[in-house]
Amino acid sequence: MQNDDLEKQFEKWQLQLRKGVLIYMVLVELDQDEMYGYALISSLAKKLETDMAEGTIYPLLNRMVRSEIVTFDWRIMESGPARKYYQISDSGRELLNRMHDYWQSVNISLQGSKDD
Amino acid sequence: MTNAESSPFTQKQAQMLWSGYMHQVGGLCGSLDRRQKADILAELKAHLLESYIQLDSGDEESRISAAIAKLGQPEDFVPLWVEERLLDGAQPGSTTRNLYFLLRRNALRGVQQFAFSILVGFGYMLSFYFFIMAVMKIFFPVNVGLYLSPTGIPFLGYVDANEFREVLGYWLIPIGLVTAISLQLLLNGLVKRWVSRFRR
Repeated sequence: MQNDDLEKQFEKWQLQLRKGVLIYMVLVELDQDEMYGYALISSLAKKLETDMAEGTIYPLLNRMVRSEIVTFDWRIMESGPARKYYQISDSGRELLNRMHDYWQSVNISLQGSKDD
Repeated sequence: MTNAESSPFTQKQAQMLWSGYMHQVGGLCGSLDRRQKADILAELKAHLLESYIQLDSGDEESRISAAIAKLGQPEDFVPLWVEERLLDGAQPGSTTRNLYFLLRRNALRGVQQFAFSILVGFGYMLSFYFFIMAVMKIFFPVNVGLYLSPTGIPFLGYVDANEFREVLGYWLIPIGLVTAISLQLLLNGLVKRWVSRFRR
C-alpha cells in the first residue's frame, strides 16, 4: 500500500473514532462542570486535537438534550449575550459510567493483544 | 451587545459579515417555529461573539472572519441542527406545524433521492450508449452513426443508411468516446457529492 493510501486510511479511521467518542467526551467534560457551547467546544477541540468546524457539535448537543442525557438552561449575563449552559443529567451520568467501563475493558484488551 | 438582533461592530465590513452569516442561518431555519429559530440564532450569536473576543488581535473584520471560519459555514451544520430541532417536535405534545415540516422534509428528501437516482441511471445508460456506438462504428461504418431522418430528426444508432443522411461520419468515434468518458466523470463527481451530502 502506498504512503498516501495509508495516510488516507489512517485519517478516515481517526475521523470515525473521533465521531464515535464525541458523545463520551462531551459527557466527560460536562461531568466535571456545566459548560456553555463555546467553552465546551474549545475544550473538546484541544483534547481531540482536531480542527473540526465548531458548529458541528451543536446538532449533537441537541440530540443529547432530546435523549435526556444532557439538560440546559439559558442564563442572562451581566455583560454580553445570554449563554446556554449544558449540564449532565442523572441518566447521562449513568451512561457515562457504562461508557467508561467499556472504554477501560477495550483498553485492557488492546493492551493484552499488544503484549502477546 | 445588549440587543440580540443588532450588530456589535462598528466597521461596516464586519457588520456585513455578521448580518450576512445570521441571515444565512435564519434562512436555513425557515421550517422551525419562531422560538426554535430564535434559540439557534441566540446560541450562535453568543458563540461567535465569545470566539471574536478571544481573538484579541486584528481589526473587527479579520476577527469576525476568523471566528466564522472556526464555527463553519451555516450550510455545513445548520440543516442537521434544524432536523434535530424538528425531531424535538416529534415528541409527545409536539405542534402540528413541527410534525408537518418534519414529514415534509423527509418526503422531499425521498423524492429528491428518487429523482436523482433516475437521472443518474439515465446518464450512465447514455454514456454507455455513446461508448457502444463509437465502438460499433468501427465494425459497421455504413449503418452506425449520427443520422438525420428525411424529416430532419437526428438519430444516433444503427439504421438503413439509404433512407438517412449521416452527419458525423468517422468523427463519431472520437466524439462518442470523449462524450462517454466526460459524462462518466461528471456523473461520478455528482454521485460522490450527493452521497457525502447525505452522510453528513
